[in-house]
Amino acid sequence: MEKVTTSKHTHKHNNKLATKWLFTKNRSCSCTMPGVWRAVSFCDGCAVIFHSPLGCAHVAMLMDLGAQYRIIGDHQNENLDAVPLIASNLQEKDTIFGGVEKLRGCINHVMKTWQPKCLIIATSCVAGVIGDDVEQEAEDAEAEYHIPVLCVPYGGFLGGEYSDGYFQTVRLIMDRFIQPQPKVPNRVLLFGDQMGPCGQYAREVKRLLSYFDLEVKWQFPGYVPFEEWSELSTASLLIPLNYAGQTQGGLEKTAASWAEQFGTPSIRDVYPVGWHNTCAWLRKIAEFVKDEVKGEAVIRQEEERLKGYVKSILPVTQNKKAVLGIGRGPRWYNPAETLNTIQRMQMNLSAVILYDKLMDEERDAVIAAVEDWKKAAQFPDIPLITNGDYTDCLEQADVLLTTDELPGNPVKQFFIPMVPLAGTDGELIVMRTIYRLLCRYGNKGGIAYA
Amino acid sequence: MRDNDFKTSCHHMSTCALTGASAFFDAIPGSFMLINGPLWCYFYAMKYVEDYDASALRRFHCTQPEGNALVYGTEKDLLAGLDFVKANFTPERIFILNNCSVSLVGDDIAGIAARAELPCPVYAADCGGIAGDFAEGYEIALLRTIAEVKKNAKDKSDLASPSVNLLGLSPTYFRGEEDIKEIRRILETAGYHINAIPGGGSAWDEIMELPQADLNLVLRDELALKAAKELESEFGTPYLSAGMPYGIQGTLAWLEKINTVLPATNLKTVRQEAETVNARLQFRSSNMQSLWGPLWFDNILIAAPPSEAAGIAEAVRGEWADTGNLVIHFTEDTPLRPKAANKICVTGKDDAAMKETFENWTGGLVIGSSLETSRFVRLKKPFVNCNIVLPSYHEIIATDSPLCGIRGASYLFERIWNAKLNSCMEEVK
Repeated sequence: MEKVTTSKHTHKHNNKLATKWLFTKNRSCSCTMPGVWRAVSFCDGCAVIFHSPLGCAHVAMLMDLGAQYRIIGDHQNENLDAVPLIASNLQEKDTIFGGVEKLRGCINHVMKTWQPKCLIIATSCVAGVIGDDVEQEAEDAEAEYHIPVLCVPYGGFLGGEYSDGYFQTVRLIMDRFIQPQPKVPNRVLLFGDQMGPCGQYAREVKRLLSYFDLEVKWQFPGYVPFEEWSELSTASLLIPLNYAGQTQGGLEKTAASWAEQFGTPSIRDVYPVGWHNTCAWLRKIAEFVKDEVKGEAVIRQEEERLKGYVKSILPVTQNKKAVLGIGRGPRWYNPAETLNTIQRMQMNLSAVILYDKLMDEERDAVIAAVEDWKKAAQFPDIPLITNGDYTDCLEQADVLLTTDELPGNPVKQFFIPMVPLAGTDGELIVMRTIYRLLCRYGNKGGIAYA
Repeated sequence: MRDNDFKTSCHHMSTCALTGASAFFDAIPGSFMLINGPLWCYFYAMKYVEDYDASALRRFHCTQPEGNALVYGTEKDLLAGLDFVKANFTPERIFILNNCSVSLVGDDIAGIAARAELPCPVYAADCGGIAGDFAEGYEIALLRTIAEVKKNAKDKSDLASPSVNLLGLSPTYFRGEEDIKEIRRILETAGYHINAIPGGGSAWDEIMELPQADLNLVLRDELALKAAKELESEFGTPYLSAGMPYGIQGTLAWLEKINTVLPATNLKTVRQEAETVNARLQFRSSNMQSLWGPLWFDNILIAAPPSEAAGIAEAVRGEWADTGNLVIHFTEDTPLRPKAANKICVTGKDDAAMKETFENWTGGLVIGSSLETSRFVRLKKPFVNCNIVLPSYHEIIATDSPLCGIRGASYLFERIWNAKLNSCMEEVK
């Protein structure tokens, strides 16, 4: 092994490409509390308490702030105000005597300062370790203040992931506040987050639904005022904002529960991410409104947009050498969509490379997905490099489409988005970003984000 | 920290102690930080530091303990983490930072580290969120380092005099690296020898020489006052709580305060520089006022930790702009009560009053972070703004201008004027 000395530290270099982050997601990689927060963060009338040290609320606040500025960066005028999020400020001494008194004081403070109509309490790993009976406190608070108090006592990362906190909050709301009732025709309920109503996913779904005179009334859970929760089951169609059926099993499962509990039809087995899936999704919508002819007309119209755009960028993209780099497991990423985009832009895929950070089972699943695509697309000869020997193919590539940044590598890199881009517009955004990257002179920060 | 600080994220709040300790240790060259805690906490602390130090992502790792480890101990995870560091890096020292839940387990970190047979020293600290916020974490890390200073203490030698240590500085602050350089520049111009800046870029060996200085200057009480007292009691080094120098008059007053305790050898040069810059700013201000009118804001909100907010409040009202209503939102409790302020609120203590500041806002200058601007955007309130603290999502830092000192005074003067001018232009577009 070769030792490399940098200005501030020394590390060993093993001649393999280094992705930006050192970690591998081999265990619980997130925390349940921000999921709880996100599930109600723009539901006017609510307040959220983290029974936690202060810093935990800061993490959630930073996530919200980042999302807000990303929306502003997308030229959207976000007009929702987040509900109060308050940390009970668990400290060292509370770990000895218990933090219940602290929580009680915090609830009192929140009721006095914000007068919420519904209170949601999430617990941290510290509260989990010291064993505070937060559910009892929630019950007592409900009796004292005469408002609903929901409790998600998952103990931060101990009780699962972000999505576990998110979906448990959804389940609590569904079970407590929503009843089956008559449906209002053409009223649609979007289900899931994906950056909220101003995010690209929800905007695109609304645009596509408008072809069928379907009107989105709410986006649940995070963006419905508390006072309107009880009306949600009047929607006549539920549309989960999911991604390829892989990333958010919880969303699909919860959407299925919703459909069953409240008798609302939903589009669950296909999602408008990637052009092929968008077509399939549009056909499902057409089937729902019983107008298949309209569905095919919409697909043709949208396809013309795609074709028109591709035609305009082909002088730059055609025959360019592209490499796909994957370090994201199948739970978060389906390579077929990126591979289809490469094909649509008429670039030459010279290799698919897998990064070291993939765990064994992830690696096997990614290899299977890529092999399936190669077979279906009839490109059996594209090399799939898994041994770390990437140097030559990256040196010769015009662009690397990658799930992970390769810091310091001179190849032009396109970062495959974590939050999926939906519909025709999503596909156009991806292609436009890659096109602009290919037009770029020099490096300018290394990586392009869609 | 007070017991009942139920801080709301709607207002300014700080990162956790894990981040503060990470920031301190990261600033010591050659160090590797192993977070003994879940990936989520690791990523959060590392990312905060990485925003200013790109090398951080190759100098941090995490043990990712499972839930059971909080019952049976983190030894297995910690040894695996140390093995990873041993196999991939050759740091000069490793700091093990326990997150809040892991710190409750009570593992014998030193014993476990010894079993890992690492070729470099390993130091451990409990610095999770239950210890407090950024300031408390930084303080824990500084005191942990001072514990090593005590073990290595040497007799005082005849160093260049007058010499000072600068305590309470961190490059992770907004323009923090630039502020450190400016403070060093001003003090060195005045004739002081800078002995060490722990947490501000000094090497481990320099930090071990902390007792050699004539005076410990505390720039941010919330980060370093306790450490200064510890150094005084252990080594007899006096300290001065000097605060951060903002504005030209503020910087001169700050320097005078230090000079009174430890006379400088060349104050004259700094005074001359201050006079020159001040004359230039007055001239520019006068010219601009003749065209655009006075630099007036109906309201000014300053939201920041005490060391920043108090100093900048005095400078903004005393030297640069006029207003009828200056409000301070201190993000930490403090006894400071700047005369420039019409209203002072403390996060966690005056939440209702802070809520009113936002809801009743009629327009003006906001000096704070992207958090305050986020609130005003969401409330659809008019404002112009200038960031002085993190988080800063809507402003890029690319130049080397500091916020403090003489160079910082010019920079903030320019920023505030340009905020007004851009606002005037926006109105007529």
